[in-house]
Amino acid sequence: MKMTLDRWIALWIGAALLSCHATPAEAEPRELSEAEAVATFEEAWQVIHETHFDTEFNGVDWEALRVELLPEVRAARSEAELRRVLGDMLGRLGQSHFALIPRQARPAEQGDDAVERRAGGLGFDLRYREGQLLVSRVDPGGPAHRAGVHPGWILSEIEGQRVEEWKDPLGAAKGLGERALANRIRRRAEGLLYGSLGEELELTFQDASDDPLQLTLAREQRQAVAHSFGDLPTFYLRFESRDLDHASGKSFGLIHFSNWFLPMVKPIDEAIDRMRGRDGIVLDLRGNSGGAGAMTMGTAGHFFEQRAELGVQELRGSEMKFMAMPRLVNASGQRVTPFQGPVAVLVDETTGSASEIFAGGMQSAGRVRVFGETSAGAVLPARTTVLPNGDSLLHALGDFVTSDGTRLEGRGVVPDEEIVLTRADLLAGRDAALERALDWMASQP
Amino acid sequence: MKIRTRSFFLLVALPCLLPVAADAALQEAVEAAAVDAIPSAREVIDRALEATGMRARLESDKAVQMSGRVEFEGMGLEGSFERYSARPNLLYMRVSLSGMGDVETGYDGKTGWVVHPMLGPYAMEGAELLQMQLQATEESVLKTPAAFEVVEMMGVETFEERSCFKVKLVAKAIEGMDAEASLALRTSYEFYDVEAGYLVGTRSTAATPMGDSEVTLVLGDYKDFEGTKWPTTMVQKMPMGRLKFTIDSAQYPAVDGDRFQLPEAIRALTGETEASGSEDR
Repeated sequence: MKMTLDRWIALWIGAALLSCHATPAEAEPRELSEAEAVATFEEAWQVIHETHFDTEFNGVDWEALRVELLPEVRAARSEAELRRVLGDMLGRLGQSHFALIPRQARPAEQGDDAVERRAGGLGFDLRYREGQLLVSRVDPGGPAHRAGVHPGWILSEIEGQRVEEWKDPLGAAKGLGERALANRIRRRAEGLLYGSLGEELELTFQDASDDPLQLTLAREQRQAVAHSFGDLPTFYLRFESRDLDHASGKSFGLIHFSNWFLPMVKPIDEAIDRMRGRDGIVLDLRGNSGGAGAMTMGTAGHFFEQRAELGVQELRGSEMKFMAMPRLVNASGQRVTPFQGPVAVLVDETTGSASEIFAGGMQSAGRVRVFGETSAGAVLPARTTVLPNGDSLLHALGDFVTSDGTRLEGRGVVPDEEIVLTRADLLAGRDAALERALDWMASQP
Repeated sequence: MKIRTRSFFLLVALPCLLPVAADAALQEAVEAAAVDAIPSAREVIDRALEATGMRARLESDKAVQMSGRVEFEGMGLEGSFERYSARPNLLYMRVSLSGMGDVETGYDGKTGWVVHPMLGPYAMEGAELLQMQLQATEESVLKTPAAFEVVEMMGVETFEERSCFKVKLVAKAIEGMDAEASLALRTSYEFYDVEAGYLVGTRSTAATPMGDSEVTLVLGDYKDFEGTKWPTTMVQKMPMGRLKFTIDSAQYPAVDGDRFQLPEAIRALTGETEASGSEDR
């Protein structure tokens, strides 16, 4: 049994390592003792001390940081104060995938309410461009659609909070780059927009003519599948696949999904089975914030006849390869040849973690052409560890380097062809990145 | 695919989970160790097999069925596992982990395979196949020359704060394998508690599609299941975390050949349409 478990744990860990962003829910304040505060801080500090892939801690004197912050921890008398100190500690690393998930946001603490608390949405997506939150997509039939909201509109206020006032505090406090700031502002908005079903929100938009428009929208069930994974807050998964005809006469398939988790596997496999006769496939990873890293290997395998290296996950003292595992059997159990045609991948700053492993790995292997805007650059494989106060610490265990030696953390996947999202395109109903990807695929033999 | 069960005349137990009870012979070994007279690896292994009832179990039963719980410690990921094995070299195992789905793996005497919910199905090759063969065969339990070219006592070493006899094992290379290049993957170490005599852990290098991985396995909490002692807790320690298996039951049923049939996806990969595997089945 030993050998079985040896190999199995490797498979599991490859699958279980998290390459995703977690959006912590708001936490109720609670008082805590000095002993609990110190124990929680010490555990968080020690876990990172023992497991961080970089023994130089990205240039941070980790021992000195402990000494510096301990007095603040001892003075903390509430969870909020402790979390602020822990957030300071994690922020000093300046790396992705170091975060604190409040115990109140852990599914084990929320029980049956975990899904319900965030099940409601208003049916539109956002992107932050040039200081403005743009509506990038509207769900057909959803609350926003029925109210006439259109892609390209600007969301300027949510429940009286003016979006334009978020930029300076968020950006200055964290020294964020443009992409990170865009993601932070978008996530803050999403944190307000998603919530319990039926609740009404007052929103202010600027329409196509820049005229202000106030709307009151009630949250409805999100068009998504709720999925729990360990101690992470619930994910809401979306999947879409469709056929696209091109002026050249060629036909293509498009697959879009929001996260790399188990419920997405079967729809992806079945969609690729349907698209085997197409002239190309587009994988739209815009808005895909990551998930379980192992899924990238199985998905990549749909496009390789032989195993191919996507990159290496560098851990402390060891490494683990991300391999494309050829998918030689279809969803019906029949022998097939992996898809041989051109493959395009769409990315932007919302493309994060496992999606970057996939896009960057496939790009470095020469199997795809990437279109859009540079991805998040937040790609460190991580796991969670429960702390003494019940919070969960998300901490990176490894760095990811593509097969051509490119480190993606902080850099992101740079598209082969940069296509910038503009408000004018959104208002015109154009998806310029997709159009360019289709043109490229049409030009391929 | 049809599997003949008449030749399943002996249990194939889980390699390396040798439930070793302290007996007089081992006590002698302990005393010998204290005066630098360390027993041979063969002696430690043979005495362990006898003392735990494992040898008798191998002679009296054809199959073993185990089930229990699995937990990825600290991550909130929990699930269950089940494992079936039968002599001389059949194995099937399934692990179900919350949010991750079911991973199935097996060996039918010829083909080692995995059906992973995220990686898809694949047939094993090279060192990964060898390691699968080892865990499926009774030779690996008995540490016979048929399976191992080296079974060597390395001395006394501290493992998990216990004084242990350290035994080095080098499995024989399989056909087509570069013996020298695969040496690290064919080598493993077992640790037998000097005082209690139990096997308390192993260190090895696991071959995976993602590369080779150093793994430490810690065994503990031995309990009796119908006359044979098994370590009911097994913790896999790796840089990325600890995976804990807890055995809740161990039974010795009649062999169910259907358990070991290749899944449809694996048959599609290998082109096999009928039962394959051990010739003496």
